[in-house]
Amino acid sequence: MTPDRLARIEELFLAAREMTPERWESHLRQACPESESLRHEVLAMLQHQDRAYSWFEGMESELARLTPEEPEAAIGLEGASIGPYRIVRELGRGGMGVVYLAERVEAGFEQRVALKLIRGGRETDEMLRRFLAERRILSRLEHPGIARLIDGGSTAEGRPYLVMEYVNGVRLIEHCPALSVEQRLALFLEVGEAVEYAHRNLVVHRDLKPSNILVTADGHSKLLDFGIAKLLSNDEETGATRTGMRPLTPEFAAPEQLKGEAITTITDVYGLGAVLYEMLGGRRPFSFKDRSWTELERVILTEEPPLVSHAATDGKLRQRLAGDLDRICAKALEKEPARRYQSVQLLLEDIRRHLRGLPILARGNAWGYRARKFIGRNQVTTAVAAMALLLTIGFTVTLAFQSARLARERDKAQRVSELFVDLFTVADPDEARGERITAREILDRGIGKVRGGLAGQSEVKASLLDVVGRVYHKLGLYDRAVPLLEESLELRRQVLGRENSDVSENLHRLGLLRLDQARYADAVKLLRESLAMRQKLYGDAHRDTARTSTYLGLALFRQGDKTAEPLFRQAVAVHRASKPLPKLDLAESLTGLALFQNSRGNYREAEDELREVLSLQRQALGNDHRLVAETLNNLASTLSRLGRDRESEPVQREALAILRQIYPDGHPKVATTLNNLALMLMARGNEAGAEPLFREAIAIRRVKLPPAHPDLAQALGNLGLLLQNQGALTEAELLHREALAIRRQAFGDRNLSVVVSLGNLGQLEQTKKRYPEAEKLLGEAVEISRKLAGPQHPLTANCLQNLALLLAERGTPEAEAMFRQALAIRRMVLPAGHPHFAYTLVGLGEWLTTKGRSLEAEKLVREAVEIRRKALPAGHPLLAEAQGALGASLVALRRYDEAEPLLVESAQSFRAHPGVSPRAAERAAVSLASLRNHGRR
Amino acid sequence: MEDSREVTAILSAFSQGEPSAADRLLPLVYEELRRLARRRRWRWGNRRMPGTTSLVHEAFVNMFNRSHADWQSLAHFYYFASVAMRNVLIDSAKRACRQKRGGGEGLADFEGAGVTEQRGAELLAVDLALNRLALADPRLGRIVECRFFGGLTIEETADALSISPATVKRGWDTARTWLYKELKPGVM
Repeated sequence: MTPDRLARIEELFLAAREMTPERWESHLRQACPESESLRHEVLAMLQHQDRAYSWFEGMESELARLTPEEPEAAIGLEGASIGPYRIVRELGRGGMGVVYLAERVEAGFEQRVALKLIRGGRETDEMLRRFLAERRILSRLEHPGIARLIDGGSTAEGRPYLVMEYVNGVRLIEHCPALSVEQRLALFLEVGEAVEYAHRNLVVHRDLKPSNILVTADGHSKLLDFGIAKLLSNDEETGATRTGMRPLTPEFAAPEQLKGEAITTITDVYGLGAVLYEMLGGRRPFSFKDRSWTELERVILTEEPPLVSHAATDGKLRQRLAGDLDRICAKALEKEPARRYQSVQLLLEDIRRHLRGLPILARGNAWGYRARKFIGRNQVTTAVAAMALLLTIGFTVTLAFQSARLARERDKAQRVSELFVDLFTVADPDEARGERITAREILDRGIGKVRGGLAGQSEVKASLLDVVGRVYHKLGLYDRAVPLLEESLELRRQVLGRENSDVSENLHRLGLLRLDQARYADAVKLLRESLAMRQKLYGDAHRDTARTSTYLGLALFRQGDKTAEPLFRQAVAVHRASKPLPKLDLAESLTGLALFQNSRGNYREAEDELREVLSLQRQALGNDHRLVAETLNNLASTLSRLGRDRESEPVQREALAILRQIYPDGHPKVATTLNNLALMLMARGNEAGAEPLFREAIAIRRVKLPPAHPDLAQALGNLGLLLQNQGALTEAELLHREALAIRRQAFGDRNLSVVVSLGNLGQLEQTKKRYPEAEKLLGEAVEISRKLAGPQHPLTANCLQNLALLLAERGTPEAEAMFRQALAIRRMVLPAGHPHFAYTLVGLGEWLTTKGRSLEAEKLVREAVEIRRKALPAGHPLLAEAQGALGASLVALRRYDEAEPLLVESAQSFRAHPGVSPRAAERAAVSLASLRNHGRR
Repeated sequence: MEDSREVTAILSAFSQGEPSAADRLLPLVYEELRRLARRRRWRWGNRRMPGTTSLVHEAFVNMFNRSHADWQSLAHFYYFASVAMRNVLIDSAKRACRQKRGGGEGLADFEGAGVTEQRGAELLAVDLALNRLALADPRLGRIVECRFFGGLTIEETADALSISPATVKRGWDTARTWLYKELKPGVM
């Protein structure tokens, strides 16, 4: 190997590796035509690059092992005295030094202690400082679950030492196998409580791992070694770790520790999660035997640990752990701190809930995390993570007050809080408008803005909580928002008095949040209170009063309460009268009114109102705004109810496009649009197109909405209907039952959506020929609909229709009256040509035909055929049904020439869709046969 | 390091032939070396925390025995520390290999766990190949000493050798791939 050759190799290698592998050989041939062996050598290097790099990494970790053992003078110390203590033997070696078992002998009393001596050799400033920090930290902590600090001093040679309670016990993991799961959880709660206590004293442990936890003879746990614990005070570093300090135990390190990001109390949540995992599952969440640091980092930062139930080897244990405990562990071990339990207390509470058989909080998120793969990467998470992190630090700073600091620091904290309030306001998705805002940008922006002081600490905290809660609300994270807003409300009540504009604002916002969570009763209560306060403070003609009025109306509306209407009208009037015109507020109130109109069946009025809303919003916000999308949704829905599906579909698609752009990873509003669009497609016979949309809507709603949310029920029911049409009855039944259960849970029997589910299930049972059940369900549907919607409501008509069909199938004479009732209602409220007519007409027509009243039947069914021919593609089963019915009536009237083409076409269609409407197909076939028999063809 | 200027002053005094400078230097430099060694351990997450003291002792002694030591700056010094580290580590590897064969060196002070004979032998092979590499391109050899044996970062290596970080990166990549190719017979 000559220098020249090597230089050439280097040159060729560096040039070629910039290219894609396919081009290597050709490039080398070009660049180095003179020597084949040279080309060969460089090519080999190129091909093995990555292996070379990782091999070297592996070697480097071996290097660490080769360093010789420190000849610590441990042996020499046995029997030696240090201060008033006599060394008995070495217990182990820790991060900073060696720990000995020592005795203090005093007048016949022997006390055994653990004595931690700083490492031999030269103590450095840093080591010393950590040692003293540990001493200071431990001296703050007095808790039965934490090894107590007894004493401290320095040896004759000037080496410092700490004396701690000697804990004679077994390591936690070794103790666990003998315990039942409940016992292990109880033990874990103890450990957690000790950590909680440390947090209250502003200490983060940072190195929680099972070997740091012992269990004494009486079965209680003790935390040892707060060696690298950090005080969250701001005299040295602020909560952020210096980037130089790496965790001592990488296997248990939280992702933020590996990344050198700030360590907070939530880091300890992770540590506890890992401990819990091992306690329950018997192995660690991640295992690393002899892996290099970078591999370690990669695994911890990117790989999901297996479910703890899967880690268990025993079948019974696996069963016991599956479900709640899986989710609790997973939530504690989330990579992003913002997705974990936000405090140890919350983690422990969830475990307690599990032990009591109550539903746990972790449920939503754990599935959410797995469903993320379906929905895609979450751009918003970065912003949320940044906020949660800052919130924790912010609180730490605020909490520092409580250790009696000076006024100077108080001011600083206030300014810092202001900073955070500003930061949070940035993370509003409306401002973001679909652009990515990274945590870095938030920090950069925030650091630029620091404003002057506020009144008091509680107010600052209240504002902070309020704003964060609002942003969480906007981001759709309702569960996180609620406690923050509630606490903010409490604080404000305390500080500002019971009746106050800020308090009314909090009540208003909480009300909105509850509204979005579909907890309408709570929403009504809050908004009523807010409204009353505002009427008193501002009077009726004030914008804020009107706004609350609108939302109260919405909440009442959602409960099916008609007293919503005057509230909406009032709010609209107030806004219209204001100058300058508050476009968005007016749009809001009009929307409320439109929704109300919609629910009353006043679709035309609703359309007008919504079009006005759309115009106002476009003027104020431009076209690409979430609110515009919502209105488009509402408009599409209304148009659809008016039977104008052809107009409705493009509107719906526009809404979906806007929303997908704003929420690339799913949002309840996207789900709504998907749902509505799918319905539209279904109505036009495009079930294949509708199905994936429904499924996506369901997936989004399961993840993004609180459990048992009515909107989820809606999507489930819709998909159920679709599948029912396709004959997938089993899945359809499951969906309908789930939808019904959700609706009953949310509303009892006081909401029309229950009617819808009852109707769907009833029809399903009918299809399965379970007639008594079907009749019961459909009858109930009619009852509730009459009661809630009114005897003239389109929905009541639907229910009557369904029941009529059932009765007709059973041959019950009441069928006719019911058909006619349904038809009458529909004629009154639906525009001519509406698809729903066809059902009644066909049903009634068929019935009449069987009763020999074919002349009446023919007229009715003909109308049905016309309606369906206009709306559906040729060959659609529903069209075929109508044709078959018409054909049958014509056959009965002996008008064979007219009947034949219809029946032939109908039979063709049915053949093309086997399994759909088998009875109608059969009837058509019978009619055709009968025709052929009677007509001499 | 806050007292880097002091160290530089002492270093230059030493290089100008003032032997007593070493005494003043010892505590400062000692700490630097310990930090070097400790950082390497932290980087590789070794939980058993092997002792740094004896490693540092050896490295330091080695360094000061090189009469041609010529420090221009603390960064420069780091290079020599890396070289010293290399020597110490290779010695350890040799001893580890010999130990396994029952060669009995007497000093049973190794964290033998996990050190396979194969790894020790591989390290020795790297050392030999590195010698060949350094003959053909001394700069590449120095880069490997700094990065691999010294555990220095790209920037520190660049400082130590008075070259640009980009040069270090390119050299490090070239050197590693070349060495790997040399060591793995199946490759070529």
